Amino acid sequence: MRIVLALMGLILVVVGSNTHFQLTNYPPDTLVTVNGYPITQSALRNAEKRIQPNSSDPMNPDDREVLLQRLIDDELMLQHAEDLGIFTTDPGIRKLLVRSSVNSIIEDSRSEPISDEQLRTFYEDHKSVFQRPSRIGLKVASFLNPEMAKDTWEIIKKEVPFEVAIAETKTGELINIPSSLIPEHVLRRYLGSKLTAVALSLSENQISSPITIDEFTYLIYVLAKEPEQQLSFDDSRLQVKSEYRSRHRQNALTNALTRLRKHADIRVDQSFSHQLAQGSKKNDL
Amino acid sequence: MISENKLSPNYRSIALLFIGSLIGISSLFLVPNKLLGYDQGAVAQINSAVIRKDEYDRAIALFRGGKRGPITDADLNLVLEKLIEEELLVQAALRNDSPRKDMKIRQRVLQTLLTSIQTRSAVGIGDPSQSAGEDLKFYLNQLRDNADIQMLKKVSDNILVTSEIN
Repeated sequence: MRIVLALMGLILVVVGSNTHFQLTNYPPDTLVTVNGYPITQSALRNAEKRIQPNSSDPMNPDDREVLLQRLIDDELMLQHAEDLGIFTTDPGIRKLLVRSSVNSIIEDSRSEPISDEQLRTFYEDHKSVFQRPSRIGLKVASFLNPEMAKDTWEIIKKEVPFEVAIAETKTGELINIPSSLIPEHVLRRYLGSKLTAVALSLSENQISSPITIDEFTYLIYVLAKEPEQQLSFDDSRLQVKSEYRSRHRQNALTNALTRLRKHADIRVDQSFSHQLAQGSKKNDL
Repeated sequence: MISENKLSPNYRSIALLFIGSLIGISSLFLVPNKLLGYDQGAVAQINSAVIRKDEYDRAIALFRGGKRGPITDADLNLVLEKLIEEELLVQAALRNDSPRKDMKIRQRVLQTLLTSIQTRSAVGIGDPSQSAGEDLKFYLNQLRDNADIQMLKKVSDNILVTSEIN
């Protein structure tokens, strides 16, 4: 009984201690161990290749010894950096570590071949993604004086061309918008959401009545409108492939993160979670 | 009677050990389960790493900078989740030994250390009589002196690495 208890105690001590037990099953081509970490013949060969990428001649023995010394020094510095916590505290290195993890997770999905059939099925299942959005061509003039905007509008109603009418009043200014047809989200960047909504409600060749927003008054003239168009599979093949890969990568990353979460011990401070939850309740009210 | 007297101390010690173990195990559940680094303002713990409140606040400030509207509570939770995910990915990279295998990371770590040695030298923290190069040599010698370096094999057929690396 005492022996069993003593063994159990010993196991608990071993499991609970922070001591790292160095196993000596190094790779067979290990040349040197630095504090138990192996430096292998293949690592030396890779370093040689990095130094002489285009040379097929073997490095001379003296240079090779210097290179090995360099690898040993690098390993010593890496171990020191680890002890100092640089791996986890330096923001730049953290970013590189995250990228390295992400790259290794999505590596498989990058190289995986995609058949035509897979692409066609994906296209059929996500047809709405492969649509050309509706587009609009328009001219917009802004006025500081609402009265002048109204006068210009009256002139335009007498079938005077939009730009001529603006030039006549000399108080309006045309807003710099691309002359080609542009989709709604691009238009929003130029005009903001209010004016965009008005522009989209107009039909082709229609001119809006003066619209006052803050200190400016606007006139919108819609030149052309093009409805949303479904792209055929052949026309959107490249886009389909890129979208397929992108979603595949995203799924791989999501799955990997779920796995990592599952195997990790994650705890959030209860008072902090409470604070976050209280904030949510306040918002709900 | 004699045998009873002989056995009783054994039973007593086992009973005491058992009671002690029970107290020990129950204390695990009775003591509030605080996070590692709780005193330093940790808001979350991911394995052995912690996310401190100031790190979280910095991430929120960054998020606020990139968002047009006001920050919502869903955003507050999202930022915490993203920080947890980042930590999980960092730990995964470390488990994969990326600082050694990934050349970009390896170079960056070594560069960071070398820069800190040069900076120490430049601001005179190191030995003022030594140049940056000498400081580096001194630093490497110190690392080598304190290290356990074992030669296991010949570098090539022609040359045997000397055991006296210095």
